[in-house]
Parts: sequence; structure tokens; C-alpha cells
Amino acid sequence: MIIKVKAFSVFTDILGKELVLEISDRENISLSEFIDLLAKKYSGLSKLLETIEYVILVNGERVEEEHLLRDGDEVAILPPASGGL
Amino acid sequence: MYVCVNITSEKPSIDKLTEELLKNTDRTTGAVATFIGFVKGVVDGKKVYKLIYSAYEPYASKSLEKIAYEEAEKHGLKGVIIIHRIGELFPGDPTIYILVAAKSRHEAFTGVRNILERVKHESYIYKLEIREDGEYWVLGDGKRIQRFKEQSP
Repeated sequence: MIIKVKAFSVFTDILGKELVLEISDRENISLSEFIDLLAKKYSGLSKLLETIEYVILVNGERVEEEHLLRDGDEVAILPPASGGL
Repeated sequence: MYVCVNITSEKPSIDKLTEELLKNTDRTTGAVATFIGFVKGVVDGKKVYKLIYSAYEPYASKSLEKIAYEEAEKHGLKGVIIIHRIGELFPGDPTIYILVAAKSRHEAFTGVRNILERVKHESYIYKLEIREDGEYWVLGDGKRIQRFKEQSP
């Protein structure tokens, strides 16, 4: 199963802008399990997730933590928006 | 109602945007309120060199459209244009244009103010502030985190 991760703003300092993870040892994975996996792989992510507010979108939509990811899904990790001026 | 949103590195013409808005709204329009935001040259007493804006597309554009339609519906607006610029912007450069057409000034002013506040919080648009004392990610309405390491945004 291939999951694409897109990071924005402060999260790019840890994850880069984009990465692709292949999960081969299991049939499916929930969003919360996937984020745990990501946090184990990238040091600093757990601390940042505890420090700031954030939103995680799957294919552009807000979903529950238990949501099961599918092959090809795009997971985006976003801090609070800072658009405008 | 007329809605147009765009996220672009280009600087639009305010005259053309106003003409476009008027052309696409009916003759009951009596007011157009325009808001333009600019990059500030000083923040927290520190000189700002530039801001680098990025957007999560296509969802950032969709979020702007949602805001425009919802606020137009709520305030009875005739038309809304939101242009948000991305990329490198320097002090004095315009960052955002919000134009609202309405029957009267009251709806126009309220509409433009509410749209701006929602864009700042709901738009999936992010900025990095490059200033004399370092590089800061701006989170939400004013919170800043210094960049962990040097890399291209």
C-alpha cells in the first residue's frame, strides 16, 4: 500500500514537502496508526504535534482517526492557516 | 451571485478586477468594497526581508470558494472576488485582494471584513517570514515558530 504525505509550513522542516511511504507488512492502517508510524520514523514530529494545533486531511477531507487509509491516499499535515496579510 | 477566486503569483490589476465584478453583477449593485493586504516591512520591531506564501492546492482554492459562497449567501452579496498571491513577496507588495459587490455599503463592508477574517483562518495558505533575526513560520493569527533548519521552503 502506497501513501503519499504532503507537509506544509513548519511540518516541512521535519518531513520535507512531500514523501511517499510504502506499507507492505499489513492489509490496512488507520489514520492514527499511520501518524504514529510517521512519528516513529521522523524524530521531532511527535513533539511538534503536541506543541501546536494541526489538521490532518485525507484526500482533502477531514476524517476520523479510525479512518482506514487506502492505497494511493494523500495525507496532508497542516498547521493553522496564515493566509491574508 | 458571482464568485471568482484565484491563487496566483501574479499581481492583478485592481481596475480590471473591479470591472469584472461590476460586469458580472446586476444593476442593483450600489457598492463595491475592496480590501488589499500588504507585506509589512517591520514585525515585532524586526526588519522583514520577505514572505514566502504557499498553498495546498486544489483545496486552498476550494476553501476560498466555500468562504466566498457562504459569506455571499449570509450577507446577500452580489459578487465576491478573492485573489491570494503566493510565492516570494516583499515589503509593500500586495498579498491579498478581496472585492465585494453589494446593494449598499453596509453589506459590502461587513462582507469584506468577514471574508478576510475567514481567509486568515480557513484557507490552507501558509507563510514563512524571512527577517533580520531569522526565519519564522507564521501559524494562525500571529504565532511564530523559528525554522528548525535551513532548507528551501
